[in-house]
Amino acid sequence: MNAETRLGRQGFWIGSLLVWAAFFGLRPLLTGWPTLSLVWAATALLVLMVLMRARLLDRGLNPWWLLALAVPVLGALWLFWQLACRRAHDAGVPRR
Amino acid sequence: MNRFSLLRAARVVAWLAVGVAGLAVLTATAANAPGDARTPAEHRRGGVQTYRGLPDWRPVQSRAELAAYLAAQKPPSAFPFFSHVAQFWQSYGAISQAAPSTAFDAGYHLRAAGIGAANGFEFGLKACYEATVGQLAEASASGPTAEDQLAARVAQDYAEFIRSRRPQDYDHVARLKELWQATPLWGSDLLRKWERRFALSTEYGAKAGWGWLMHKLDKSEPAPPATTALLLDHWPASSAELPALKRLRDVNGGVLAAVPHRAVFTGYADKLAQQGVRFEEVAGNQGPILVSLIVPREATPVTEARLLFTQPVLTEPETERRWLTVPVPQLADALRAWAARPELRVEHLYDF
Repeated sequence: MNAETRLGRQGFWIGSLLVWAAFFGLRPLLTGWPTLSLVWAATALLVLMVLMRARLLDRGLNPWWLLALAVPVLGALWLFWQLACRRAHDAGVPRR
Repeated sequence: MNRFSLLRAARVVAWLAVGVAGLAVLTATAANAPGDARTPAEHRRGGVQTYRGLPDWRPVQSRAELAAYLAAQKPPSAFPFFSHVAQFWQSYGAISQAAPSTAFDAGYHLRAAGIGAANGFEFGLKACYEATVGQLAEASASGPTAEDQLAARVAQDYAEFIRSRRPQDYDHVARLKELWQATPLWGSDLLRKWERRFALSTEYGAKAGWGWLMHKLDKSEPAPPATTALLLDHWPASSAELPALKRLRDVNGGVLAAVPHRAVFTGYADKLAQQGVRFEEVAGNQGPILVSLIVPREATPVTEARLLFTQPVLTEPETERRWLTVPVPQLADALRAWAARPELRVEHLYDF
């Protein structure tokens, strides 16, 4: 995966669900290990950000749009709409 | 149409008639209010309603647990959100099996599924956020911030509010103002403070928006609190502690009274029982009434009632919640017996 890697809608859904499943699957095993638990949470967040970044590129948007998450309610709704619901910005155009 | 087709049509009609007759019998069972009930018809409700109150009430219990958990200054990231969602569906399944068989009521099951889905959506989002961003911000703080304390107070207030009123009527906008106007913007543990500001603004903002939408869709004013009719063997000697208890009329040697439905009912029924009053009918029913008790896991079984199922209280591992049924005429005796056992707490009576 390089800086220009794009991720389609289906890949985004599958990838996100796998990350959450792995995160909550392993989390109970780390209950007595607070530092490991923190590292695991940070890792999951990082992987999710990478997925969102690749999906934003697929939508033809600048990855800085991830900062929209900082806007309560509306930011998350807008990003969900863009990342999880909409097709690639160049869908239907043959790629070279 | 030939003779063969006619015969087939007649057979279909016959099976339909059998089906309709079967449904009619089941529906008659559903009413379950005995024919010899002395409570006037306008105050009666079907016996199955006591079981059908559980899906309404289960999320209230989860929110009360969350509020108590936050009030104890425990970290939100460790709250078992998903286990609470699972408990809702387990209890819905268990109560569906325990309830007397009745005609399939699509409206009830759709409503229960809607409550479960909304509960799962809210707790699912919270679980994802608190376990990741929330947990990382928690680790940066030396203790609860002013925002954490506000969150605990609001959770308690909200849990209390929805015991007797609709969730969409709660004033989340006022809580949002309190967050931004009455809580200091700066101070120690700045990262946690602002992370909580973001999380609470999102939660209260989303709930305020949802409440606004619900009010737009349903323009009716909140209905006055419904009441439940109780047929008592005598009027209590002192009703000063029971301001909402209304004496309706005398009925064949008993007294018909009305108390507010749902949350208030539990406390009133308990106070009446402690004054030696006996319940002859509740909403026209003499059959079983559903009760939930909070008890230590090691507590001896309750002999006054029939145990339906139990669930652990997830944030208090040494206790569990037991759902039982008691015949209405024995309810007052059971409440008096439970009051004598301090380790038991009557959490809720599902008053039809």
